[in-house]
Amino acid sequence: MSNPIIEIEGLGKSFGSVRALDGVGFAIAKGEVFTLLGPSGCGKSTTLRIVAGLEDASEGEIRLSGRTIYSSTRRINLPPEKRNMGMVFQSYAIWPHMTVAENVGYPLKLRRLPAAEIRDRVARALKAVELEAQADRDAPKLSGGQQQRVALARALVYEPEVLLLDEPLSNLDVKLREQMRFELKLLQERLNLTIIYVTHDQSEALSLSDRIALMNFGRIEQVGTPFELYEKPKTEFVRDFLGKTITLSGRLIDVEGGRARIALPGTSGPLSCPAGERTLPSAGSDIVVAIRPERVRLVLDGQAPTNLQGRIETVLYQGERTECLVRVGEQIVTVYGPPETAGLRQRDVALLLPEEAISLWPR
Amino acid sequence: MAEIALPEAGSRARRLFEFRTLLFAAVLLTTLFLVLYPVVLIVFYSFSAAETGADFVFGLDAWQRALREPAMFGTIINTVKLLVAINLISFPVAIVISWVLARTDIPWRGGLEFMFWISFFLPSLSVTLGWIMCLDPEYGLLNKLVMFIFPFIEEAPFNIYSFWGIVWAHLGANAIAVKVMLLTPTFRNIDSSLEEASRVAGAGRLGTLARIVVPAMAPALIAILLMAMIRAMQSFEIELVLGPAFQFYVYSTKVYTLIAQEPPEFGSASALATLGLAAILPLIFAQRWITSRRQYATLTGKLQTQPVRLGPWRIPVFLAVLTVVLLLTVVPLVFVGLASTMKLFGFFNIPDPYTFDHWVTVLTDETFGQSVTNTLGMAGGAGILSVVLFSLVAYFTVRTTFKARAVLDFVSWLPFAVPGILFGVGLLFVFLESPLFRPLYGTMWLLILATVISSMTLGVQIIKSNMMQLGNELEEASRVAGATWWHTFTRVVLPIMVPVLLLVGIMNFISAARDIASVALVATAETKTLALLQLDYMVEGRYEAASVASFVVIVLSTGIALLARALGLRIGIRN
Repeated sequence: MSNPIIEIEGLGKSFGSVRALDGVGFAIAKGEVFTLLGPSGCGKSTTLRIVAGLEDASEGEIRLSGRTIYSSTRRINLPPEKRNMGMVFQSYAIWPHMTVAENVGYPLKLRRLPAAEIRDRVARALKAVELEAQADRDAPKLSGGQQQRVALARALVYEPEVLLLDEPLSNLDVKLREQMRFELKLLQERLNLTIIYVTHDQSEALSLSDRIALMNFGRIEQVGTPFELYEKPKTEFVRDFLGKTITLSGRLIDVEGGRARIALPGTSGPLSCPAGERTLPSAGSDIVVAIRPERVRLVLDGQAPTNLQGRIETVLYQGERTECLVRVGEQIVTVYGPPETAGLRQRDVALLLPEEAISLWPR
Repeated sequence: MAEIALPEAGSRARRLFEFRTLLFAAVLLTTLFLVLYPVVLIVFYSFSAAETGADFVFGLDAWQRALREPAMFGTIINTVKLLVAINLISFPVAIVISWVLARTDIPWRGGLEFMFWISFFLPSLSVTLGWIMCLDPEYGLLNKLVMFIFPFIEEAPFNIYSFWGIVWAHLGANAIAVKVMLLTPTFRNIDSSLEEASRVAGAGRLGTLARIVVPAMAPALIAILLMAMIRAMQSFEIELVLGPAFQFYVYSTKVYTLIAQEPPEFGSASALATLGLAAILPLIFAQRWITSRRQYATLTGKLQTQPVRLGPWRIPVFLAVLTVVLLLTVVPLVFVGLASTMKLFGFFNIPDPYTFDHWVTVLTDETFGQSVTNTLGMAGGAGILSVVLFSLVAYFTVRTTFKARAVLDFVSWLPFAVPGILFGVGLLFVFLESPLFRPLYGTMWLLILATVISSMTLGVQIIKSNMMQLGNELEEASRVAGATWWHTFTRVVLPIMVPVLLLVGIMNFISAARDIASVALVATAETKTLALLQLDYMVEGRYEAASVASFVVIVLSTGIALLARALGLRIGIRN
């Protein structure tokens, strides 16, 4: 990366014998939305809080615009108030004894700006989040979505170099959350904000991020664009955490000319597909065939070419599509079907698994 | 229409004679009789010009005396002065200590909190006794020590028998400990991201405490301060022991003296008592108003509790808090212990200064044995009766739709505001002036009732909050399954509540065992409790004997609290 704003190297943290963080490192460019994604307890919030200066790491180094703000070896640890970052908390942390404008103006007051300029900048920040009309209201009287915007305005008003967002949308209801996603994206693009975003919600991560670091047990499993993580997962954890995956267990018959043949128990012929880049176990070993359910086509009329036979056990109608429970040999998988499959029971079907969508995993 | 109206009228009539309704009426009347009636009588008798025992004659003499004589009205001023002095010191101290305990990475936090908890349970009188041993102008050890180290000081530098002596005794006894107990959970409940947001926005630790934490918590802090002030209006025994030596009376000790003297002045006492009540009223309204519009810092359910790092201040802050809590607990206890084993306290240079004679004398004294029996009987009776009454009161206010339950709720709350000594006055009127109840005067029952009343508010509150958490459905399931109301109450509600009821019972046992204000007026020579015996010894100046009695009271109150805590019951104040 040519000119990173934030560089993190070898961040680690131990609680007794437990490694809460281990060797976490990444760099973020200006204007980038970088997301730390993972299940609860994976260390993503801890990482963010260490970047903010709210928690201490045990080892590692953090640089902001080339300046070291944390280093375990050089014993540098800037307190949060000296780091000039903006942060939005999961609870919004709106100070209940202040009005909206006072909340937003607080960081400027601390920076001893003249009153006129404070007024000016608060007004601009509130305008950016469309809360001008609420400026003089008591902050706790606002709705959740409005409080969220106050928190955002308060974090942006002093133009910090980096904006830290800790699960900012998780306390909103579903509709508002989807709307705020768009607003956040618009705001980020308009102001060219650099954002570190922490979430456990994969669709939030996929839709908002330029890059994602997927974390598990205090380590980064994989860093990449949303597309890379979704389509080219490097580990089983990444594959299963993002989206849904159909997995079929089988036995590897052989690999020849870059193509693998797999026997699935209870099915007639072997399944053939490209062997892929991953190193596979020797012929005769157990193997897992994985594919995203939206890539599987359910063929009812028998016209199109298919490579797997199955039998529908039952169907759940979902409106724009159905979820079909299909028996493939001795195994059962969930496949999406067109609305007209609704009501089908015990019916033989054919499945088309596009070869390029199949990945093979050692068991 | 008639067809519809008739069965409805029938069901209403049936409801009126339902067992549940009758029980509600009984509980309501009992509570009204115990709590409201004594208060009404106090006000009533303040307008009586007649001699005690004679028929009521309307007159304003008592009021004229109460308002004109400085010895009377002045006691209210004294009360307020003390209240202001005590809280001006204890409140800021308690805020800082609670914040440190709740929100920072101070070492040995559990141990410190435990010691504040112990301090909360130490009887005020025992703590005062310990400080008398230290600060008495004639033989106080600290005075002697200072004069020994600095020979040029010729007069004792400290005098516990003074306004500031009383303030000091209050700080040592309860004023700080109670507030720490109340404030620590409050600070712990604050969403730590409020602080963190301020840090990230550019403020330091102290700036955040001053500009965010304290202002955001202001409503909660003021509510607790007002509550502490209401309680402080009720203080009695410290003033009774330390005040008369320099002619200092607060209104509670004055009321007591007016009634305890021969002949008693009931009229003046009740006028003064009414004045005292009136002085508390604004505090009560302010407290209720503030708590009712509570809207503070805990906005979300999910709380982050990241302790604030004290950094280099960690050890100095720890030592400061440790010093305070040692002053509250260990120091007074050591002196009480020392006093009980010395021939003459403070005289180390006489041959053989240590002795167990006081223990032998007191323990073999018949009065002492009698008072132990009295104390156990009273505290045990109060514990059991309070559990029965409070659980019914709580149930009816939380779980039923009777209109009059609002009255019940209010009445159960009244003892919090009315000082125990005033209830004592009221109960005296109830039981002396009416021939129906007079036979009960001079029995343990009167003391049991007095202590049950004084612990009513807290006990009912604890049971109520637990019943509210219980939810309706457990009960409804039982009703639907075919159980009657009584069956549901005794087989479903009460068994689930057993730990809470046990807790309330033990708490009331403890508070009854160490109670002085509520029982001082209603006890007779035959029904004297240990705490009152200790008070007598102290007023007579027999501090060594008082120390022995004090130790037994401490074991009975703090010891049992410790035991219950060891058994897993969370005794103390909680939200």
